[in-house]
Amino acid sequence: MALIETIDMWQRRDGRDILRNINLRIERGEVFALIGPTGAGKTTLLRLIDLLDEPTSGKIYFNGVDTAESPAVRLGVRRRMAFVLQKPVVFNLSVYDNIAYALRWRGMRGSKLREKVEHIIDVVGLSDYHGRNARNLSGGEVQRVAIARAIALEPEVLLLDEPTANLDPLSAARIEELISSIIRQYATTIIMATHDLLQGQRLADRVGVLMDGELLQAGSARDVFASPRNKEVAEFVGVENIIDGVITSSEDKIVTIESQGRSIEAISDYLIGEKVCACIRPEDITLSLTRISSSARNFFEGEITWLVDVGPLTRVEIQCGFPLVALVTKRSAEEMKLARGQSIFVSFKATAVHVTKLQKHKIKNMERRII
Amino acid sequence: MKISARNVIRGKVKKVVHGAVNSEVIISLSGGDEITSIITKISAQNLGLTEGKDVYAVIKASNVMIAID
Repeated sequence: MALIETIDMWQRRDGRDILRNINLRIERGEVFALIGPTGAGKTTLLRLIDLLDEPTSGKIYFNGVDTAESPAVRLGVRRRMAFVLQKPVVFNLSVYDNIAYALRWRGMRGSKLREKVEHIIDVVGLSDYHGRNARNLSGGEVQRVAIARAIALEPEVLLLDEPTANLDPLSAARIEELISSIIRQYATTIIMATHDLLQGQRLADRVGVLMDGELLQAGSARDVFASPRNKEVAEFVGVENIIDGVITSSEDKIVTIESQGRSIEAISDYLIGEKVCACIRPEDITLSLTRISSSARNFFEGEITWLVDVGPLTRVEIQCGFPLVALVTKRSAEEMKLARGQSIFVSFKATAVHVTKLQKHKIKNMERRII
Repeated sequence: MKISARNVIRGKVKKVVHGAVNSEVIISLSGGDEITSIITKISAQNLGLTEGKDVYAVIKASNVMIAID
């Protein structure tokens, strides 16, 4: 049984669908990252999961119990979760008292309280800030206080809304380290919102792509990146080579995609006439100075339009009827004397092409896709 | 062959097993090791891959995984 399950959940505000048909299952102990651009509905979804708001329609189950069953159930479930806001608010009190506040509220007193708060302060690395007024702390430190307050309650579910969005890179890295250590130390289920796919990849077991109120895809970050569900997801996750085209032939799953007068071969179940886009990782493209006879199904002649070194690799931009980016080792680029304006041959395997939908799939009212 | 792939390894086709869409090609290297490649059946046919044919296994550096005992 999933720890949290949302079924056909919609959230409508001011005549606009903020969330559309969210069917999400989160397992106990899972770290799930909701990724999506600003305004996609990530905070709205976290607030609904935390039972701070009620959905316009649909259900939220916690450990198999319908959270709308009664106000008492709702309150009980809420107490098993903790939410760290994107811009946390701290009390005009010391770091210690900020963390102790909610524990006192729950009846903890004396040495037990003191030991607990001291331990949590240590976990979040704020031992030197013990008596400091929390309002005088930096953004990263305030975020630590907020995380400390949340984990002090030993929640079953920790919800984090863009935990590093307003921080400088160093503070962001430290908060990521802290989240990572919480994941290791506690068996807490974590649902975090981030617009940073790489952060999701670093921290989460699974990422879910939320765009324009729709949960479009979920899986390991690697899978989402390698096999984006549609062009929109591909663009969001930063796939560099996305070529629009139409399937013009299909035989034994080997399809031909026509694009700007060129034919790309790929392995796909899409049918003739369907508008698709071909996604190719730059690492899967091989360059050669002469025409080679190889098993690669895709071979094009083009011209190098730009080169730039990226660490031990060289990023080569090529125009071959459509623009392509290839990544080759710097050593290969030097040995081949690659230069702007040079004629070049590009090859890649049919299996290196991920074919995905061109058009965004508009979700219908009764359609259910569990993620 | 001026090619960007860092690994161009010469060998001989040991075996070709055709599937419905893809073919599995086993290449014997001079030291006795083997490399297995999956390519489309049509490519295997176009290249005329048969046992004993001299071929090159072309592998990009980014696709090589390294393991230790």
